[in-house]
Amino acid sequence: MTRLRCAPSWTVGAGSAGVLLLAAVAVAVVPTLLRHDQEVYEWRAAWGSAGSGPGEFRGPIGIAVDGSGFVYVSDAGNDRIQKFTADGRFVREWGGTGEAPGALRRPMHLQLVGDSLLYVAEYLNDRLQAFRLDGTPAAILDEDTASAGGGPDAPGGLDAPGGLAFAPDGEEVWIADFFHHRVAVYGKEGTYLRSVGSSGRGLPGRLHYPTDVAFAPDGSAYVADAYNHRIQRFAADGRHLDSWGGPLGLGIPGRWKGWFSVATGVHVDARGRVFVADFFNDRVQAFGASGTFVAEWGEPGEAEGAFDRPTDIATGPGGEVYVVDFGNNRIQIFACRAC
Amino acid sequence: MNETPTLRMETIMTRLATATLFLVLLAALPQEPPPDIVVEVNGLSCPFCAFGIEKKFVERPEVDSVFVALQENTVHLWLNSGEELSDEEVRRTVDRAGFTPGEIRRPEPGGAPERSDASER
Repeated sequence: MTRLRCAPSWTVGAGSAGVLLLAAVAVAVVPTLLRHDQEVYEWRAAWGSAGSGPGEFRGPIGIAVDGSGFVYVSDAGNDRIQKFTADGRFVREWGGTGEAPGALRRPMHLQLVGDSLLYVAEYLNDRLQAFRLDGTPAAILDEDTASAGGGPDAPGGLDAPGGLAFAPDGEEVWIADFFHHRVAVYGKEGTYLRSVGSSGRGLPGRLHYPTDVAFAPDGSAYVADAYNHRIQRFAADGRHLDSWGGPLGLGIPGRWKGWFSVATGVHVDARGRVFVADFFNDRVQAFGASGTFVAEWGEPGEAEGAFDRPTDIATGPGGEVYVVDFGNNRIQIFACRAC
Repeated sequence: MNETPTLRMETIMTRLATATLFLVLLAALPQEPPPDIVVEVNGLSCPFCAFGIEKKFVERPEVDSVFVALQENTVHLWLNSGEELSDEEVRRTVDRAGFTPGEIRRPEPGGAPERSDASER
């Protein structure tokens, strides 16, 4: 009798839970389905192939474009930086495997500062190194980093820095500290200041293997929270502002517009557009400052405009969009047709 | 002018000697030894992960060099002379890099090199 009496109430309970679950899924997914592209990006050119000669790459990762249109690419597998003209003609290379000034070990994301210095995040050397634009070593930012002797577990120690960005006023540099699941903030001279974000999955402000940082003109910072499959934005003082990617920015991967499957690179252009390298989805996505979906392009493959795991984006002085096509060992250029 | 049989034989002998010398020199060239340890690790297709696992092994004093074969999902380790690295330490290092270790192999010295040109980092 008890079982008979309880059964209907359990059924009703399960039914209610199911309805609630369906409603939650609808709230999370339906807005995604209603998104449409507001801008269209078209393929323009590409260069590069696998190898270690000039203009060849072995797993390129990061890219930066200076005000004159020169393009800098971190050729991570070859431990070097290559410099090209805007249309991909080889200019020079520098680096080489090692720890001495001027040498590199797994250079990752890049950052140009004042159109005179190129900063490189060195994944295996646990440091940032700055070069003049002719490749001359200029500085090593490691006063408090692991490479300065503090070890990776010292407060300022870095463990595989993947990307960096200088604040608009140039006073601070924010570093994606991959294995520490945080952003490490340093003064411009290399003094460790504080941490932004903490290790964790899904919740706002938690980071899981972050790989890149980019500043908006207003001084807020976007973090490529790679293995939480999302972008998170923090205020200059480190407060979490918002997150996007998947339903409610909770760290769920997917292929719909505005979702990610490992977000490895983030870049903000002069208009404030936020471009994200959506690594395992083989595409690039563009957003407004607060995460409003704007555009997506790319599909898996080797054809023009297709990608094999893109890692980074940079924009040129004319608004051209350069994308690092990691698995295809090439750089591709796109232009916005309806912006 | 036609070659005489003697001249033709001399030409053949010269070519044979040259080929033999070339093969001997080729064999004398130093060849990369096989790795001391090969460990299977799934999910290495992301460079941040692959370089990350390379970093964790390079930081170990026992390890001389590391090669991550992305397409084969394996990490190849060459140890410094006289050094040992237990399976437990290998597993712990893979775990510290955020991965789950698979099978650990220790190729025979003198065996065929496992690093192939087709592999990518």
